[in-house]
Amino acid sequence: MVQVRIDQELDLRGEVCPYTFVKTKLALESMDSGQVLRVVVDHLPAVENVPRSVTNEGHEVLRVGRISETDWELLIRKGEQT
Amino acid sequence: MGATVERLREIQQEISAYLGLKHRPIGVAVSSERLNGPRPAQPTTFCAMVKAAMDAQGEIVAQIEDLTCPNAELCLGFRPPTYVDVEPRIRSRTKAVRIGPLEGADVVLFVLNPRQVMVMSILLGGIRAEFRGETAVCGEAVAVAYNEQRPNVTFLCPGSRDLAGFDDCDVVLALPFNTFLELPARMERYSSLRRDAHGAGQDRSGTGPQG
Repeated sequence: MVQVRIDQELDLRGEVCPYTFVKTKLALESMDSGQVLRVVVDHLPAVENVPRSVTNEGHEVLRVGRISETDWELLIRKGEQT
Repeated sequence: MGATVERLREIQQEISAYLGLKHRPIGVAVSSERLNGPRPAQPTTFCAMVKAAMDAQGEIVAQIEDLTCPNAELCLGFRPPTYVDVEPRIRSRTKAVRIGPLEGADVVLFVLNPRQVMVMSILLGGIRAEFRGETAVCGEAVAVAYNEQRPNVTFLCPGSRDLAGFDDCDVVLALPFNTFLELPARMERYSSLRRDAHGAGQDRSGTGPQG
């Protein structure tokens, strides 16, 4: 897998929907286009919800992967500003 | 088992009076084809559409592009999951849901307080409830009742409580449509449980009918 430079990390373990998306969205808003955000979640619906929601907002999902028995990482590249 | 629109409205009114409901029960129809009907003015969550339908007459037809919460897309069967399975969910390929009318509904949803859930559990001969506080209205309510053809109770989820306007004391009960049709006979059997049967059952929670 090509290594991706992570510009910001967001630990959302213990957070549940819809706040997993809300906090991800807020983090992306503070970043520049093209930068990559790494989000860690342990709430299964968020593994589906956050990628879908950020894609709808114009961002690119680079990776969704399990990193432990309970945790998943989402790598998201911020899209172009609109 | 069928019923006319008028009879369905009568049952809706009967159960509302029997329980002392604050919100009218509404139907949700899950369709594998696109449906004609009024669409939401702007995309919103499925649970917000349900709440709105309970407080107003008419109907809402929602397609996938009308839903702002991806959880409902999965739980209502609009699309399969991509990364991880989310349960409970409808597995048929849904193209639209109709929210509001009881005619043609697959599931009937009620917003209840705990006392009303107690009464419904007696009417139904018991309710086996499964809930986790996730994907509540779309999954725990609609998908469970649709898939398993049994009632379920959900204590909602953060999204529905914080974004869709449900109160802290609200609980949602989902009935398969055929179970809803059985309610008149069950209310007659348990007429003593009618809200005003003994002149008691005063609502001290502020969650009963207004006025």
